[in-house]
Amino acid sequence: MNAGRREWPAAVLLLAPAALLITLFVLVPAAAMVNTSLHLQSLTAPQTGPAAGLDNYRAVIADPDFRSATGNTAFFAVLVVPVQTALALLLALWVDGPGWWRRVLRLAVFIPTTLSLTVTAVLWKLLYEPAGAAGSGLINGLFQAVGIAPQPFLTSPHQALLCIVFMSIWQGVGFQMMIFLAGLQTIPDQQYEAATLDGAGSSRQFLHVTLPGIAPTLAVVVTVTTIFALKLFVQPYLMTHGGPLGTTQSLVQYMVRAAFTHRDLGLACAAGVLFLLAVGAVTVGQRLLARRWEAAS
Amino acid sequence: MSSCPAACVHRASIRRVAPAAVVALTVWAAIAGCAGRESAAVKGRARLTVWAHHGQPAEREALAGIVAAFNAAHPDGPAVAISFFPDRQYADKVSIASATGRLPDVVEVDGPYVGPWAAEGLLKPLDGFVDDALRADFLPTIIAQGTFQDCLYALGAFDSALVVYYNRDIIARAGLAPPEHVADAWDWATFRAALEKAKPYVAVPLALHVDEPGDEWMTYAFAPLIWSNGGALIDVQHGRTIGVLDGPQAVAAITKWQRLITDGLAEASSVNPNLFAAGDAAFDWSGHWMLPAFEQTAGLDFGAMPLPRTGDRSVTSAGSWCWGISRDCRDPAAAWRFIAWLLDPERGIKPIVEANGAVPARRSAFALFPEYDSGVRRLFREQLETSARARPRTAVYLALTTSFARALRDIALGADVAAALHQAAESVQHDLDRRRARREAGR
Repeated sequence: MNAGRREWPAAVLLLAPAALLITLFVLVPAAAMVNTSLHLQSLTAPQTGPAAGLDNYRAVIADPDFRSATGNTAFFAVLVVPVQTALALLLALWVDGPGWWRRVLRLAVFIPTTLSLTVTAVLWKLLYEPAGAAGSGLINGLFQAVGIAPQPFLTSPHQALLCIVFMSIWQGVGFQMMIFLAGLQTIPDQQYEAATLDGAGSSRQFLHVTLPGIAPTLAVVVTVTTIFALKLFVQPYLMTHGGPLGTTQSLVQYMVRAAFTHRDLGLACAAGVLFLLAVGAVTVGQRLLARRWEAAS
Repeated sequence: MSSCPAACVHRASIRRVAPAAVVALTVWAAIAGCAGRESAAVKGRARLTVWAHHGQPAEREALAGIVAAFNAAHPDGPAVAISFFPDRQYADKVSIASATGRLPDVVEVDGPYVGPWAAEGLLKPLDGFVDDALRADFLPTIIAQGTFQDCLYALGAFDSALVVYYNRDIIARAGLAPPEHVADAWDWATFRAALEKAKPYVAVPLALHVDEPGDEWMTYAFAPLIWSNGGALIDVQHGRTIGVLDGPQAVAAITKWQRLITDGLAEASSVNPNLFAAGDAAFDWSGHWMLPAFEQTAGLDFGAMPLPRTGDRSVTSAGSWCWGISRDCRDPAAAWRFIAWLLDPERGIKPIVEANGAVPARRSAFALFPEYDSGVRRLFREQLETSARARPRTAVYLALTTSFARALRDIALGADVAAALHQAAESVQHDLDRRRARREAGR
């Protein structure tokens, strides 16, 4: 008790910088966002607009653009989170261990993560271009060379979002792979040795040693990937402008458009609050599920 | 557990932090000292703050020169302090300054922003400073661009021009004779026939620059087709886009435009942004800003014609950066003195137009530019005097131009014209209705 009491000034001192920054840059803006969402507020007006109750929320939910942006973002997350996580785990298992070729592979998969998303988005836009006289798209060029019909990619309402999904997985998978690698290396070798002595094959070892061993890592990776996926913005902003026919417009893009194009800060903040609640709910739900799974295993 | 480790960490941290803090303070002092450096001519004088967009380096230098000349010529008045901001962030910077009540005295305004900024109360009217003689000296497009709800809010030193450039070698081979004057502009059928005739001689008959990254090009370049057909983007008076932006005249005009692309007469996506200068396009739907580059391209023999018409007469676009006095300006008379200097043919228009190659905004200024008597530049001036139109001045312009551009991009890819324009009209109408609700709630 005494020691605790003597330590509290140090605790306050050590916590203060983070607490101050979180209050200034997260809590205060979040409170301001909630407050603005309850007013009819234009972007440029220096004074607070008239109170609007829940009108902004009703307008957001009734807006077909918001609904399609929600659908696109959900579709993106539903594809990216499981595929990217599974692929990252597979890659981590593959490159885990000694050998120069594993080190080269690790580096090759990790490099895209170190590049700016802006740069990779522009590069992939060029890769997805048409080939031939009208453009110089490398992928369509390869397709042509092996006799596959050229694809419209980013200009097709059916393919554009899938193209963004593919590019995003390519860009992000290396980071998750590294986290899984760290997780894999925390599993003691004795557990595998014991499992081998008990006659467990590699698939049973994976199910009963590896998966439970990396359960906390898996929970973190899934949560972080989900949050990143729901924050989708740069790729559609730079690669498709949210088109064609609005099929790639994301929720964050919708908010930016509401605030800076329509100059309707109240509407943008209402969308922001709904987005925050949705991300929060998904994250808490995932954590609860992960905890039950960890407890069960 | 003892408190000692924490206390030691604390003391050690202070020992480490203190030198860093000294370094940070020194750097801050040095930066503050640099920022505070000023020329002897303006030291100790009251300030007139001016914000401008970065533009091209030559344009920025010319503007800095105009400011220095103004400050030297007005030793008793407030000194102009000009700040430049990156083009793409400029409008957001001004919007945020408005929200925090920290606007400069004089703001540069991109033409289409006059409507939103005037509607949001960012600008003071200029009518009290502009007499009839001065007003009559400006090109009609400049007055129209600066006018919102019958008040003049902004005036510019230069205007822009949108034409169709053509490659003389290719059109000679195709046996074509493009018109020189607005009154002789081709109708749509003649234009299409010309593109068909040029097709065997080039990779692409017409470059449209549909894959320009910004939204404004789409509205600037292709709204004239709707205007020429008797349509509009918005009914400003009644606050309506449904039935206007997706009205029959708009749908008919944009359908003609779409067929240029779907029939292979115009490119919709090209890695090379300058097919025309490369000799790969017979015609180029483009603006005055390309003229210097074309003139410097060795072996390119070109001319320019007015935009083809979709209705009875050819209509083209106009508009560029202009100047206004901000809501927060406390000395509007001093602000106007500076704007009047910027708009003076000799002191303001000449240096800036020589730097950026735009079209002078005042009739009296053309006397300083004999090149506007003939050739492509003569057409620029003729269009601005007769057939050019400023984009609509409306509070919802940004929503309008973004939605219209998005619709055109989809249409270029083959989307249904009526459906895409209807979607755009609905999106802007949603904005108009929200604003109406905001206005009514504010009363």
